[in-house]
Amino acid sequence: MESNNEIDPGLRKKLSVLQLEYERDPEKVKRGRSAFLQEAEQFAKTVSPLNKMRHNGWINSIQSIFMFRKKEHTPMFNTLMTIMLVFTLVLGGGGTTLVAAQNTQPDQPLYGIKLWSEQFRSNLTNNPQNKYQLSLEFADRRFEEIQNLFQSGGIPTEEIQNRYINQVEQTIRFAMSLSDDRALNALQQIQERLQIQNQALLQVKTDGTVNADASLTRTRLMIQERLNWIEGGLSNLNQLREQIRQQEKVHEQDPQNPESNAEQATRSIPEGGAGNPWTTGTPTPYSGYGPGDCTNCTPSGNGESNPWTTGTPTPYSGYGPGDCENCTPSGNGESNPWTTGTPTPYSGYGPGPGSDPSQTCTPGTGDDIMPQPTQQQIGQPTQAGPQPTTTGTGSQATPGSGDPGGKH
Amino acid sequence: MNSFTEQDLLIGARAYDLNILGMIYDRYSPGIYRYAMRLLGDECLAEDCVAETFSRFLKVIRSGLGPKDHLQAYLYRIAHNWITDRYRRQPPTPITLDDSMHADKNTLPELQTETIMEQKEVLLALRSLTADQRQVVILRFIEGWGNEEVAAALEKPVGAIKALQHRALETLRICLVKGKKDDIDGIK
Repeated sequence: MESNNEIDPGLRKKLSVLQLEYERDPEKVKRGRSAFLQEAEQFAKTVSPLNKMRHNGWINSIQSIFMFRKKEHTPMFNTLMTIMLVFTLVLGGGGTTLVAAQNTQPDQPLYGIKLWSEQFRSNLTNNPQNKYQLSLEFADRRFEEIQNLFQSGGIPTEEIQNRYINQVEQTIRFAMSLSDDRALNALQQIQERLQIQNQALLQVKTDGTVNADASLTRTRLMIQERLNWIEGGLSNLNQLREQIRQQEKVHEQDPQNPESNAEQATRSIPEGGAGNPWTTGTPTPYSGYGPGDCTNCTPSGNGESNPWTTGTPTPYSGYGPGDCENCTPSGNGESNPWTTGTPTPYSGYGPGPGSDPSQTCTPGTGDDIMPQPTQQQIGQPTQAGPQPTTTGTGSQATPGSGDPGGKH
Repeated sequence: MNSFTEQDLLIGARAYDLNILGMIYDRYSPGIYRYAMRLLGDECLAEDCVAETFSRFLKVIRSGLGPKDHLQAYLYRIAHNWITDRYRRQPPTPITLDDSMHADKNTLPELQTETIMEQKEVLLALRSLTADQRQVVILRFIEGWGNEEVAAALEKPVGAIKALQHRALETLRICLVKGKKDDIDGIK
């Protein structure tokens, strides 16, 4: 035997104890053979190769090219392999998509996945400090997107701008959830970032179109406004926290409209004179607060320009005729429906001075006096600049035709 | 019966020719039984192994798969896998001496006991090998197969079979020859 030369004689002797001939019970052999043939007969009767199996030969041939040849039919192995393959494809493919989405811009298809992944990361973070840092990072990303858009000659839509500013607000909110010391540090950090971003926008060159310039201005105004918040917050942290609470209330009332909550909150500023709840500082140019810069404005007069009220003006609300020192009251007493008493100087009632106080006012007949404020007047709620005239100029100033702004 | 080659038998088996299937059983079942007995040392288990081997063979043919050649090697592979699974599922059954056991009239009880102990020792040594090594040793040195046949049964190249064989014999030599020699030296 060829194998005898390959084995140690002592070992061969040891192994030879297994080379016994085992007597097999003939009865068991007969039974085993009969059972085998019976099983084969059943298969032969009822089973031809399954339809789906008939053409599997070519699949196996192809598989054998790429894979190791299977020793046996192993359904469990195949199932496990399939599950693993699906998981690998889903996780691997999903991971690749996520990574690819991280550098997308708002106008690209995978941008939604980028936002979703950021939201997911934010939700997974429990530590307030980490949440804040993450939010700050995302705010930077939003700004870079806007900057890239400007630089590539595009114009960021209002949605993109709002997304950015919402992220900034979110960051401020997370900063406010920190302890006082950390919150102050965080606010300073946000302030620095926003200032840098504001400066960066100053250097951005748009394509010169009106829309691009307007969009750039709007973005800068948004940043400026948040800087004002932060400025107020640095001087009074609790006040900023209160503002944020109010803002969240506004957001809760209209959660479907994600448009900058701060803008909504700003619009919902209460009665004139109550001040600006968002800032206690000096109004910043273009921030939307303080006197306007309109010198030759004519009221639009369509009544739609005042979204704050459509009701009847109330005394001291700033509507009605202004205070004119040299004007003679119209005489019929109907010119001021809000009071029957003697108008008090600077109270906002009584005949206005007209645009030229040197002119002598002629008492009117009362016909050209507005019996009640018109929609034109309603359209100018708190406009505090040089006042527009309504029906006449100062030379023809008649009682009631003077300063509709009343008090200023 | 001997005129049928393995290819002929496989073609007949795929057609569910009962005569051919009977021939296959008659030709290969004794060897598989012997193989199972040598590894398991239990008649009932060896019979189970034979029955399961041929049953699996039928199922494989039914599914349209199965061997294209080397029928004998294929059947031994099924038996080997069954035995390996059996090893994994449960530890080896302890061999007990029953009072009702009767000595073979032709052999002395002490010789018979010695043979049984030697068999047990070899079986334990074989179990210390890997499944592939064990199969190579059994097929090569007990069943007397050639390298090519063993390679077909294990679906490995001949070189790999030789490497398995080398490592297996080295392990067995340590277990059965060297270990015994050390024991004797220790007694002296």
